[in-house]
Amino acid sequence: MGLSRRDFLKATAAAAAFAAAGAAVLKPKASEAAEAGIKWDKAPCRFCGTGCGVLVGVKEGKIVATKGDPAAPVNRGFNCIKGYFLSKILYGKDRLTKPLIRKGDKMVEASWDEAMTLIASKFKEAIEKHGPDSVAIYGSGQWTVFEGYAASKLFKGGIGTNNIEVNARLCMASAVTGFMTTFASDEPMGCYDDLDLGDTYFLWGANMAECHPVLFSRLIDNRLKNPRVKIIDFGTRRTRTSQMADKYIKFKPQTDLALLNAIAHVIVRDKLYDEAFIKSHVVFKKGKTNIGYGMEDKFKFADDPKPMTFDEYKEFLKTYTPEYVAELSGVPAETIVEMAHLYADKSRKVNSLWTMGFNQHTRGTWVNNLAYNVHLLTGKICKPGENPMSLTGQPSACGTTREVGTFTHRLPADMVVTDPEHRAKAEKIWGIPAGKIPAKPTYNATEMFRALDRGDIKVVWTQVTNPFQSLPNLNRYRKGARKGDGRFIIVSDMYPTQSTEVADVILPSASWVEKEGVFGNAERRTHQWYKMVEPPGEARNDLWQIIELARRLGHGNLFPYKYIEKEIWEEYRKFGEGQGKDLAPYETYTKTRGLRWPVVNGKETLYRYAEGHDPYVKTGEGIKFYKNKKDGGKAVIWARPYEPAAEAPDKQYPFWLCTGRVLEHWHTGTMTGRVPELKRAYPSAVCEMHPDDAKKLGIENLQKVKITSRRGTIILPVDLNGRGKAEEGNIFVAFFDENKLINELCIDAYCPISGEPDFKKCAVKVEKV
Amino acid sequence: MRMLLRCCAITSLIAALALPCIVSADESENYEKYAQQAESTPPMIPHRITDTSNGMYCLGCHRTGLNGAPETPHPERLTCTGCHGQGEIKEIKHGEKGNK
Repeated sequence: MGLSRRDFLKATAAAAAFAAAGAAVLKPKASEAAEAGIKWDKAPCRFCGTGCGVLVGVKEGKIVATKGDPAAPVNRGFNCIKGYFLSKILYGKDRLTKPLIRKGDKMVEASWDEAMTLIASKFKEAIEKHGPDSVAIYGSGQWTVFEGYAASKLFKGGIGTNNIEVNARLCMASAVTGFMTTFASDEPMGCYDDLDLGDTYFLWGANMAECHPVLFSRLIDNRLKNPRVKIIDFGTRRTRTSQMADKYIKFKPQTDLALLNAIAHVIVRDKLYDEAFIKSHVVFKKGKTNIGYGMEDKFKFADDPKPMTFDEYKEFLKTYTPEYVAELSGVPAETIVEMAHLYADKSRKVNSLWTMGFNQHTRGTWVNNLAYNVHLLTGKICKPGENPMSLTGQPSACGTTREVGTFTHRLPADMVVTDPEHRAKAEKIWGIPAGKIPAKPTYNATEMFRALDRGDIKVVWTQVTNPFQSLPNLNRYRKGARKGDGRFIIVSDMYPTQSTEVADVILPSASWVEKEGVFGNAERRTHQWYKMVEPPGEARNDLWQIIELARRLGHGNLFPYKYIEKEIWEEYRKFGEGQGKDLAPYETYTKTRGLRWPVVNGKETLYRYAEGHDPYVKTGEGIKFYKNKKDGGKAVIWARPYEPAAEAPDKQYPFWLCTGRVLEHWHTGTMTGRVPELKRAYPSAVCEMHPDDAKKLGIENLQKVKITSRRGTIILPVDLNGRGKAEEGNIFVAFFDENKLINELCIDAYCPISGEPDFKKCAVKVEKV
Repeated sequence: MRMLLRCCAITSLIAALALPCIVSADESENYEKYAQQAESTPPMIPHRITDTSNGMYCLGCHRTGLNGAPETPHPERLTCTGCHGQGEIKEIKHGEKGNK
């Protein structure tokens, strides 16, 4: 009997999947002797929000190997290429090992005592002269839960300022406000199991093949086993993801808003919505329109939600005919109708997946709402294999920044400083006087650096992030940091970066398994690891640094812990208990490859809001969005219109500039850029351009071009036929290259609701050099 | 027969996934066991690739070992470039596909 190639592949795949379920990826004949004397322990990967499990091998105090953990449910023994080089990321030659203090133009080595004394004095001075809102901390979705918690407790509960912000404001804030406005609770209702169990996947502006590679592999694996699976890639550029998708649908930047409304329009027009689901589980609302772009300093916005009827919502959708939106977006009307029907197909388990295309958007909150609308209209939500899933970029944007609430307006467990009951609860758990936590939020990340530029903030401490490479409109904020007049910048990092360049004090920091930590990934999985190696030289972990500052500012009483990490965890847990955000006791996490919250009585929750899965949903309730008490446990369908981008191409600047990542490099490339294999695989930034555009400009492949926006200019070689292929009128540049600071060109316009800047859309001109 | 095998495999997989995660007392001690089962770092690609990225392109040579290419132990994995990155480019004896 001759097996066809397809049959062979299917059978092998089925068998492979079968083996994978047993979590044993068999290793070919590697030598056992090489592995003798290696002590292995578990950790989540240091990189993206996927949260792969890895095993770390330590020998004689050094990491000698890492492997994808076969027992980790997220990745089942796989990593992506970055993960496979985790053993090298801590060992770059120029690792920071001593505190450094700026003296004129030079950075001079100092002791920890000198550095911390200086830092504390600067904090005290600023607080005395200008008040507590003149100091700030800028942290990270790569902070451990302990670090974020300690920072929040010190600044909000000790110093008494809401000046704590994080780089997650630049990546997930719109996802958060999308969740909060639609469901009154942050984070997805589904989990990664949906990638294996569904059959229809709409990817929106998300290059999963490069940015969530292991999750993308799960999709491709699913499709190999199940020929019914369809992957639709909605994008503004053709990527590796597009190449493997079943259909690539290009659309003009910003028109995602219109497309989602058009899909809803067709679903309503053709009566494909789930009437019963809508009646039981949905309310309709509208908010303000023409909401601005955050371009002015101290820009403020407050929405004004008003209820709507279903009929009023249908009326709102009338404008978004396939024909109108085809004109706007460039997507043919028949395709819009086809996709709407695919979304609504009752025989299909439909999922939507998105990351930065939706979040880094001046209408990021709206477009997140609009994605949920389609799932709520069709009732395709809160079911295994069928969910909208907001993918998270950073390893602990969820676990730390969103769950601990390290933002100006936040407290742990979805709570906000503006709510007196929430403040009272936090004050009680933190053991601080009533009224200590300020009631008013101060600045989002962009506004925080604007305040530094203006001089309203004097002292900024950044940890585990590189804002002076990653902020939009970078030139303003880099100059602002060095204006003097009492400004003082402290940067805690493991390597020299663009941010250490503008620092007054540099603190050498421990990283990853050089400290005990907890991360929380995109599917609500909280994953713990123990310290496995010592940090180099005099580097110390960021948690110690925060507590040390606290001590010197007279707030040491906030940190009366012996086993700091565990005690912080047990204290932090109290916030989420009984709130649908329950976390297990610390020991539980030391023994598992993470658990998805809410964890109640030791049992994790795969599907929130769903009876039989979520312990907070009572028998007979079916589906209940119980966190939205205001609307009786229903989710909100928002009527959000299409509004144009902050800065669209015009005669003078005729191209759209989009920025983002590539597979081999993580964020600003401080770690991956120091791994020789990763650097060689993708050495420097290029400008993706369409060949027809290049031809018109007289440019050939790999030739240099000068790209200019109203804010900055850069010279790059063009790439006309690389892994990513720009559409006409668009260019794309990755932001990992510290020698090519594309963010100087980006616009610091942001979503008025989320405060998240739009790194995907601004106008540039391209000239031959 | 094939159909039955497939159905069995998929059902088992779904059943395994549907089980809630149970904390096993074993896990905290036996990382070594999993490390031994785990795969090592995937080899880098020693030749230029036309980045069409679709695994079927790579399988053209690597599924059966055409043109001296190493035969892949896992032809069912199609997102090749997710794990295998561009390495140092070495001379390949057979005719190359042309410059990138």
